[in-house]
Amino acid sequence: MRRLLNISALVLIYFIFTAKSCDGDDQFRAAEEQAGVNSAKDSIAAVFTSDTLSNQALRAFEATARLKMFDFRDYLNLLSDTATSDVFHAKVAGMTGELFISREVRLDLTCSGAANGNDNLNKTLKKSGFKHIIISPGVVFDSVTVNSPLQKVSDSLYSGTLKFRLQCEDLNRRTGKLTPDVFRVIDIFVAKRENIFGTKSIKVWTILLGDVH
Amino acid sequence: MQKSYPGINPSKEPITNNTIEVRLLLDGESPVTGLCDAKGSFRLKTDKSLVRLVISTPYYRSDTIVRILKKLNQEEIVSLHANDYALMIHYFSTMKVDDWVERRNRLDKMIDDAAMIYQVLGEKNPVGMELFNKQQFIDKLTVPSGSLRNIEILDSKFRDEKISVLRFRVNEKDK
Repeated sequence: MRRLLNISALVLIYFIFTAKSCDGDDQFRAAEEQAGVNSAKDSIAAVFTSDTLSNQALRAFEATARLKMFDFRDYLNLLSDTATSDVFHAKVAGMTGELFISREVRLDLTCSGAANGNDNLNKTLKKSGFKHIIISPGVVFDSVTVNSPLQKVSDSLYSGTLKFRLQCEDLNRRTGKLTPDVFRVIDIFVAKRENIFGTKSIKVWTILLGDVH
Repeated sequence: MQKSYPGINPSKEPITNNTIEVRLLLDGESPVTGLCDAKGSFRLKTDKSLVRLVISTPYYRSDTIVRILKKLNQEEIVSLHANDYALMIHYFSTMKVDDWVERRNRLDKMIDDAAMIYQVLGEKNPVGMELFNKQQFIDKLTVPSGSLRNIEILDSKFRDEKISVLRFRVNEKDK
């Protein structure tokens, strides 16, 4: 019996000393994970902080500018909705500001003088810092295309324009119909903007909207 | 020797119609990369008795698989862990927002503070379109707008169980 116990103890000791360490595996996995994250972040940063932008990158930024125009349209719809909370409105107004190169931009989105700028939408945007803004109620825009492709202006700036179709709800007729369409042009820019990732701040190429003509 | 490695998730359903990349790690050589077929199977011809494979696919956690090959067992099933966060982000991008504060809180817990999240354009040679930090991405994902609908997660990396790097594109055809 005693011999059997000794053998059992020896077998147990053998298993304890030869068992694979879970801690070691976890540490290896964590180190591997961290190395993968660092390497991916470095290559992303390299793309968005490069000195110059390739033609392919500029075309991608033009596509992004078109999407930003649709975001702008959606944000205006959200800001026109009086049923949502003030906190939500403030967040959307702030995000609208982030779409533009500055809040000094001139945004005239009116259809045949249909706006007086005193409605909630215009007031909310002015409150968030936009100075030169006048938007007709029920404005819609679509058919956004590249009017002039992005071109280098300086080492830190590229510019171009988009063309879009603008219409407003015909308030005089109150039938839900839209006013006759007009085409407008909006400036677009790619500039390096400070962006914060945790505790690290880096300047990355960002597409931004500008004045409406 | 031939071996099949069908990608299988924990619910035992094969991963189909999704790109599954398999990297065969070889001692003293560069890795060899291949793709699974539409049924999620990968056929490997080798004279080695032990193979190491790195399997990666969207919506599942990448994993390194080590297998001792047996002549009698020519087929093996590999289980991958679902990337719940990536699935959740895809889900968020397709749903209507009712409780945006709750969604913001959930995303805040899922994403690392120093995360880099970037949108790409194109399928064959994707180009970077926009780089978001954590807050910008949460803002975009919780405010209903057209540009971030129907996100397709292409790649994700984790740090301390939180999303640290995320690469995605928007499925234009579904918008």
